[in-house]
Amino acid sequence: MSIKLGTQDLTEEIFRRQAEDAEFQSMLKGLTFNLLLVGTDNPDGNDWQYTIELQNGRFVNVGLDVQPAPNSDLRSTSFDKKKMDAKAIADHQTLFELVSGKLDLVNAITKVKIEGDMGKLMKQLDGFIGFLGFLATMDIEP
Amino acid sequence: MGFRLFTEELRDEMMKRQRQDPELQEKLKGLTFRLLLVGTDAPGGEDRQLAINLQAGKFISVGVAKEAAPSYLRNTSFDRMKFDAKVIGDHQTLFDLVTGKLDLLSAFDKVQIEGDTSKLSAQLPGFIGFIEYLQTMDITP
Repeated sequence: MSIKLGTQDLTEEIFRRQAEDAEFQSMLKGLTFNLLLVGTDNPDGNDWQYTIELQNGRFVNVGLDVQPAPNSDLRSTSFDKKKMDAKAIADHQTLFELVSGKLDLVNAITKVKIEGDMGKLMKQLDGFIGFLGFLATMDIEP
Repeated sequence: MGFRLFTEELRDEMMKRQRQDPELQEKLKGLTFRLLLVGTDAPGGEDRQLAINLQAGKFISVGVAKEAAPSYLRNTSFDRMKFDAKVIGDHQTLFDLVTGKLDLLSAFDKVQIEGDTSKLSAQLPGFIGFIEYLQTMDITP
């Protein structure tokens, strides 16, 4: 059964896989990062935001906020930099293509607004690429 | 003495270090990519191009071309049998990148990239390692 991007179902599937799949943690290569990920204009007319907290290659918390689009708070590039390292905002379809392997990272980067600690993000790009590779193995739908 | 970006002197230094410096060999992480890298409006009113052939983490060849700006080097078309991608950016932007003043993610928004971006994406950590190495060198515009 496929899982919709920008829903709680995906969060639950990630935690389930993390608990059951030994390969999962090694793919994330010790990733330690707090990321706000915002998808705008999903097929249901909503904006969504995942609040992702990763420590040593493990998801410790993933929060979800869904609001009718356009939502100015979710789309705003400002965020609490004491709590989160970066905020990435992009069209829902772009993020869907990225996590399903239809769009490569270099092309996606040019379509995503990213604010925050770029240096920390760049140093851990291996882990992010591993995570995207893992998501691409899941049956994610828009 | 600094090495001017996209010139023979920098190319020769890279080739020398490749033979002598294990850190550079490690940073290149097995990169296999053929890249045309063009910096426009370099000092002296030039466009400069590097034609880089990396195989299994080793520079096989690095060609240097210079033309009075604006030149044909800015053309986005290239021989896709010989090269995987072509990156064209303002010389100052690329200088800021290789000296650590600009991060790679921000640089992507400021350059044109043509070609096999999926191959580039798959090897991004290797490119980041290479840029980090360049940041330890004394590079001038």
